[in-house]
Amino acid sequence: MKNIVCSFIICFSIIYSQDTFNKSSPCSDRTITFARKFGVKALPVRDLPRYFKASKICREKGGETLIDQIQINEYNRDFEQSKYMSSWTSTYGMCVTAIIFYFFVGLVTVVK
Amino acid sequence: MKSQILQFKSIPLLLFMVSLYSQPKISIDLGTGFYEPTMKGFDSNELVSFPTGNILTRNLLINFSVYYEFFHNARVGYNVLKSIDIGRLEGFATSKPVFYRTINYRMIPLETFFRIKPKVELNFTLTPIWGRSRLILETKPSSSDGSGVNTITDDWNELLNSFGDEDPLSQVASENTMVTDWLGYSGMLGYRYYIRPWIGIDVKMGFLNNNYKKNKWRFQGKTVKGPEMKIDEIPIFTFKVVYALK
Repeated sequence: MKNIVCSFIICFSIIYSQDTFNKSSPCSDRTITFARKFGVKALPVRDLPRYFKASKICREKGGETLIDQIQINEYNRDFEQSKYMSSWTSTYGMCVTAIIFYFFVGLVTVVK
Repeated sequence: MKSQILQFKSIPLLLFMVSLYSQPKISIDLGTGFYEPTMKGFDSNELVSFPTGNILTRNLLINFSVYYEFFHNARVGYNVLKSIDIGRLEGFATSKPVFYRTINYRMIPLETFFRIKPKVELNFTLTPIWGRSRLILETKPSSSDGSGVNTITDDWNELLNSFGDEDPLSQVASENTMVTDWLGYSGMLGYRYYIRPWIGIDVKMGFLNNNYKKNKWRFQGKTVKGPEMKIDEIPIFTFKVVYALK
């Protein structure tokens, strides 16, 4: 029990030990700046609550376009990375499709 | 020496913290599955009345999975589809034991995918299955009707007889679970829509093929007969919410 309590104290002190962001200009928070450059998924897990809070306040203060642009950039980045199947993955995909097609054709046509 | 032990204990905590700071390409999925097995051993049992099957206990599966994206078009993970049933058994001589049944389809899927649009992904999954089913009987025969005639062993023998096992157990110890394992495979085609860059809704359809044998159940070191279930060559549909920590 003592260990669990200690673990919680350590974890929460790390997670919530952030300096509070400037509420007058939340759109310039370091998490938003980082997300603009590298995307929200690149943010460390411990920074996510701070990012969500900052982005919410930023939206309320008229920064809607900025937050939307972060998301659009991230969608586009992921899309560019996995737009085409490369190497063995397309062969694998075709094999899976063929197996499932064969299974469902068998299910419909085979009479027991 | 004492301080060394304390340091040793803090190592897992440090490892956990390191994983928080890193940027893993990990996603966590939570959802449900839907399939239609035939559970003749429970639904058409003439000797024991099992809890009446319904959509929750027969067709619905709880789905939990974790994936790691090791390549920009492929991910590998661990996926569990779980079916649960619970209720009281009728038809025993003097008792009404509580019955639990679980079926776990544990998978190590290899999934390839590509995005047809920035928010839409198609994925292809093929996976081996290590299935495990458990039957648990919690019985208190002596306190059920006051007579105390029936023992735990008698209850287990009645259950096994209902599955067609006519070789009675001489004595049942405190362990009250019968288990079976089997191997199988599954293939699925999926469609994923990202409502946020890090949250998606994933719908999959495919099949499960399990090599389940009713004669391969284990109970207290002895091979016994279990319920008849048809869980091979069945179509399956899953719906889940994906949270990417990538």
